[in-house]
Amino acid sequence: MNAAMTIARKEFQAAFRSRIFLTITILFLGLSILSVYIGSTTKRAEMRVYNETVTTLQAQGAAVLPTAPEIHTLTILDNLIEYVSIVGAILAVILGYNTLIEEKESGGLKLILSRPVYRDQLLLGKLLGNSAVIALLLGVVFVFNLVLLVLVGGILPTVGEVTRLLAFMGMAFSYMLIFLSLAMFLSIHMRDSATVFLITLVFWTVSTFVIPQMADTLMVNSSVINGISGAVNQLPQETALSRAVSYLSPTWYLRDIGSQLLQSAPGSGGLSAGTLAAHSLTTLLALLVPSAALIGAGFASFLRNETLVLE
Amino acid sequence: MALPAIETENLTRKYGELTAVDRLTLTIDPGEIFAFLGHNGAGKTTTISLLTTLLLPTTGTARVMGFDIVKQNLDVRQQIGYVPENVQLYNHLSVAENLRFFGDLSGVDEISHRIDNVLNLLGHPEWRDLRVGAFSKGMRQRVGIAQALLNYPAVLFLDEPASGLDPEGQRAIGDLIIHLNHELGITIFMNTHQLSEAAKLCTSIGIMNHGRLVMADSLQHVIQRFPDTPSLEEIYMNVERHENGNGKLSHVEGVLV
Repeated sequence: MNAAMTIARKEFQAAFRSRIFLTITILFLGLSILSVYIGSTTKRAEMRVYNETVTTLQAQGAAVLPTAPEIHTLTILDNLIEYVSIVGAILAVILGYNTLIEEKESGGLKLILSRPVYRDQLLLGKLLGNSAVIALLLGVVFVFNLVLLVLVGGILPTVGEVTRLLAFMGMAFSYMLIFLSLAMFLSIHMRDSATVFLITLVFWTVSTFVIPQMADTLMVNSSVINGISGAVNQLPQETALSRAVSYLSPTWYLRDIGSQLLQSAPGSGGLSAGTLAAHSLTTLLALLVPSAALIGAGFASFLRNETLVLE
Repeated sequence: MALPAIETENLTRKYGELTAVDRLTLTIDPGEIFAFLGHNGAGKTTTISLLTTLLLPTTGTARVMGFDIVKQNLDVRQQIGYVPENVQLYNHLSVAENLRFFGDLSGVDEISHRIDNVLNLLGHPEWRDLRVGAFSKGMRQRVGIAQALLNYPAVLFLDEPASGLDPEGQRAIGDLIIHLNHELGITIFMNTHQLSEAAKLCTSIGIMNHGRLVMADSLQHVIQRFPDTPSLEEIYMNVERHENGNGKLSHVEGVLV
């Protein structure tokens, strides 16, 4: 078997024997159950209130009835966006931060590289193994959520909805790959796994909380007059600067495309397949470019600096 | 005449300004147990790292079983086994899983059969399915040797194989080294601080000091050259003192510098 695949298999085994990893995975799946339960309960409550209102209005002889609330099946799952951006990112960091440091510290890297193994095979194996763990995990979450939709929500999703959920899982994979590749890149260059973990977490915090907050602050408030009550509402509106700042955050990309794929953004339920596909492709590229750059830089420095093995 | 198992010529490795190995020229014949002696920082581990192709030399050349360590590094790796000072295996895997991993990396065929073979050689076939995480240092060291034997190497590199082991563990490792050499004909290259271990096991020795090889010869010749010195330890101390400018060994044949 190719050396890279042997290393990938070992990484895969290691992840599923790690208590921390298993605990967070179970948390991820547990949150999915909660999310579908809460989502479907909320939607059912909305419909019940609407139906009761219609019944009451009809009894009162009203001629004009309110339109039914726009309820899309996938909005039940929109909490997944937050779970991936928080729990998913931390899982990727956990997978990546110890990738090389543990073996550098212990001398295991010397044992591997005294075998007929090229250095690029070693890194490729680690990348493939950890990426396979993420892919498997998201695959399980995907199937799990579909089953929950049917069992808990009592909803049978359409082919289009299944495709949208699958596309979201693809985005989630690309998003998590950024944190995995960052942690791996740092793991190549640093000597202390705790420092790698900390730096990657700081990056995640900035990406997930600080940059979106900055972008919000840079929005302008536009005044909208409520035609019925006459009240004036202040609504935040994007500016070129706020959008440019948002582009710096991978989490922003995930939330943006996630809200459209899972139909929680206003008007996203009516988007054409072409528009959605084009937007998805652009976002996918934006998410993959940082990972590709980090992986490329990691390979270059690992291949060039032989003493990294002996530190 | 058989090819030397290990042959180096002016092998040099620098880390910036520091010369860790300085123009090392050395020949080790097949079937020898060679002990590399020297104080901490003498360049012993760097030499092993060069010969196992973990590091590139700054200048000079070396061949292991006829293969150049730079141009034919993968061929060299097929010919060798390597056990670092602190063997760190994967704690979450069993002994067999660890061995399978390293065997697969070497492209070893019939891996299950080989795992059984090397565990039998250690005298511990019952370790097969045990998790390595619960093992003592001595047990890990032996599993480390087992992983190095999976590809049936011609040369085995051991870096301080008995370091940190209790007397029983040291004896077990020593017996294993002798068995591997006598029964299987494996050439052994080992770094060691333990002169009693070297005197007991080795057929030849080399002494390093500040990156330079100051003596290399068969153990028998070394002892003959120092007729008034009762032990290898005393010989080593004399050579070290000479190197540090406090001794007079210029009359002794075999002292290289």
